[in-house]
Amino acid sequence: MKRGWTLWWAAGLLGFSGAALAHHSFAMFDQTQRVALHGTVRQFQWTNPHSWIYLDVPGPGGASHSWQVELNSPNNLKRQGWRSDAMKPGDQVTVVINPLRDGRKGGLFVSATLANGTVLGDPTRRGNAPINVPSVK
Amino acid sequence: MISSAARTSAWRSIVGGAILLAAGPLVIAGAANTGAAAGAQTSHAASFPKGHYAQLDSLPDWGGVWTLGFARPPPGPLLKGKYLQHYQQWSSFVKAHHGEAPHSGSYCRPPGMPTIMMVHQYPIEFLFTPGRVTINSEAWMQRRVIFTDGRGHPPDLDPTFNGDSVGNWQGDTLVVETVGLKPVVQIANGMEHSDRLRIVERIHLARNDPDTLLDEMTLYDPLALQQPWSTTLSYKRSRDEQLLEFVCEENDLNSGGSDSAIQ
Repeated sequence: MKRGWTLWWAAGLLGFSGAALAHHSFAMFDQTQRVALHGTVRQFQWTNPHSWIYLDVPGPGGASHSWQVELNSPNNLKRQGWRSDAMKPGDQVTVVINPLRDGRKGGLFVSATLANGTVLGDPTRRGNAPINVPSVK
Repeated sequence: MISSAARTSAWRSIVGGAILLAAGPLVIAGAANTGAAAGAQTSHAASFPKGHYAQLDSLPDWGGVWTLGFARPPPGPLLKGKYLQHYQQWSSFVKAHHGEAPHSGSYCRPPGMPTIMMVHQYPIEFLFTPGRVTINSEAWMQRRVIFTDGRGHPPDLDPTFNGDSVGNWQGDTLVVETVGLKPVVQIANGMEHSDRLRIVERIHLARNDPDTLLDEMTLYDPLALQQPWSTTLSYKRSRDEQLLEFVCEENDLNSGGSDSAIQ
């Protein structure tokens, strides 16, 4: 029990996301895996409690697959320098995610590279330590 | 019904004990309320008596917004009895599910006290008005009201997420006692509490840094805790920021479970 608490706070020391406490655990994402998605933004939702990127990603056979990428809250993102027009429908972007564990086409935002080369990141993602997952031993 | 003497005493505490002049009018106001409200608790609605705002200037400067810093915490609360058993069951589940905790209800439900004071990235602010201190929390747009007009906790307390808080100023330190927290409110991940939970906070600026605010918090729960548990929360001031709107229900795609909206 004692150790569980310590680790819970340790997560904070390593870059604990406020979205964490503010909403839900990120345990459904496999934060040991990273996947790069190249696609077209269909929608950028600048909404609480979390922002979302809906991305159309071309598959091997030419078919397009819709992916949903979950980000921090607009409140946190705004303080990190993001703006509501950071992405617009039609933008060609590369988004790196931690994929969902269950195989559905969704993931947790790690970073994005826009067509003009601008890289948008999340400063709470320092290193590869998982964020916002209650750890217990 | 609060007594006139208590009211006077409360006002002394509000301005650090130097308001002999104000005590007189307040006694009269208290007496007037006694007649009008016939002993009802609503007499406390007089906690904004006109003419006393200038006295707030003697309170310490807690302006701006405050963001919780990261610090190494003390060892966690030591539970006992059924509360310990519940925590052990919770942690077993979490271990077996990659850290995903069992949960019921909306993810937009606020955490309540004491966790509402422990949210990273989302700042809080303090508003001083006569007879009360209000803490606004950006996360979930929560609000704590701390009455400093000398009243006690109501006898027929109805438990809430943030509880019932009363306080008084001891010099530049705001001392707050909070009781009446809903059973659904957890004191930490997986840790429940009894209806005897009492939280005492001593909130003051750091002695060596006026832009650091400390909340020395102690949880007392003789039924759930082996011993009182204390922690000190440290907040950093931003004078140029303000709280942002946070409407969690705007786009709560996860209300039915973990990312249930993802196709």
